[in-house]
Amino acid sequence: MTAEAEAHPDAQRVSLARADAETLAKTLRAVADPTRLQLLSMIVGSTAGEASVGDMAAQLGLTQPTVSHHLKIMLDDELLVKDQRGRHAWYSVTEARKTAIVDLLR
Amino acid sequence: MGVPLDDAHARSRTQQIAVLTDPDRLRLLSELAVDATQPLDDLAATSGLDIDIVHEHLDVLSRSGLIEPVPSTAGPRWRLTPEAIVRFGRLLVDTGPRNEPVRARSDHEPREETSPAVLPAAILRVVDQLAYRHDGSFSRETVAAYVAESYALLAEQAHITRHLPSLTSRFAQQRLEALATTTGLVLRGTPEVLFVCVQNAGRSQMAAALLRSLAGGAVHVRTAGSSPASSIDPDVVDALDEIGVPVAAEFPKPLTDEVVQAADVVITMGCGDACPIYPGRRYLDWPVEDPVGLGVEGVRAVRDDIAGRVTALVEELGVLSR
Repeated sequence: MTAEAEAHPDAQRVSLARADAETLAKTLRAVADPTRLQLLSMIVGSTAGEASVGDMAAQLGLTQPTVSHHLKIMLDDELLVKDQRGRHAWYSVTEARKTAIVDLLR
Repeated sequence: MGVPLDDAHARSRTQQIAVLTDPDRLRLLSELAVDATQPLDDLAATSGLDIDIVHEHLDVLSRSGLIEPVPSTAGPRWRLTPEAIVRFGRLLVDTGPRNEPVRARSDHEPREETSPAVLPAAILRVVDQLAYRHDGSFSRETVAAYVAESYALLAEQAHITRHLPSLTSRFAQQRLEALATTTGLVLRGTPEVLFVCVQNAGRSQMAAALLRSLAGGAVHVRTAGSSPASSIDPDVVDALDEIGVPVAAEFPKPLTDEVVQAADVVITMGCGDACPIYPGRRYLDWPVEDPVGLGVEGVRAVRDDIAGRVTALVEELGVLSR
């Protein structure tokens, strides 16, 4: 091999299997939308790691139903979790997905 | 609540992510993340895809800024761009036992504290190079902060072990360019001009002195010789002194690959073949006579010839009108 042999696979490093690639593609479809990425950036960027529909809608200048529609897509893919507290629902990123989402937004 | 991504960034990231909603493309990118040295035939074989399809996917990935060609003499090779490594690296490579969720970092991310003072020597050299390159646009502190952060982001990706300094350099460069765009700054890295002649004792020294006096700090000037003499020709120093141009306290230096690689414009005078050619640089050959042994009048004529060419070069680089 040449000196460029940067990436000889160690035993530990494996590329994605077909099934994993399909799952990941599905998740990426759920976030492949500018509004959804903006919603994620607001949630991830908040100090408490959560944000409410009303606040996000106001910030983006969108209606609450529009924002709820986008949030539901991400809830369905288990990217987000919802915490209903009284009249307001707070959304945060699923713990196991946090690193990946933070990376995507860089 | 955090500040949302601005529209332009949200759109560009969406475009990149959309490209990866195809499982075959994801698998190809994942293969390249694990081993960027694979010939395309191997890539086709491991992914079970037709070679033409592989070409199409690679084309899409490359146009989205996710992969870039690797310089190689053994046929086309592709690797992930630093941006792709930072955004998708962890998703694409299994580094541990399967299905173990990647642990989220705590709120106090260590990378925020990566200070330029604790960077490895190779990364500090990257800071030096980029600070030098952008000294017209960004302070050294800004460059150092971007390099430190880029380095931390890439180093976090546990699967990157080699080429970290060069990856860091490319990534920091990209992000500085993006910063310049968002802040409305026109990023013009200070151009570096390299003058090369045989001995680095006459023509290249004159050209350098003339360019420095004309362009000041707007251009970085370096010189080298393919077989350097031991000192600068005194007639050359005199001829420049006559027109009020000081010769920098330089001594003749050998022509090395590094100085050529660092230059944006390489100007050879009588040693064209000895100068290594790198892509992306501009090469000019000035047919200027060697002043050695020409006598005072002859040296003056060479000086005036070079002065005319240097003036034209400064105009062409447009460095004084910005």
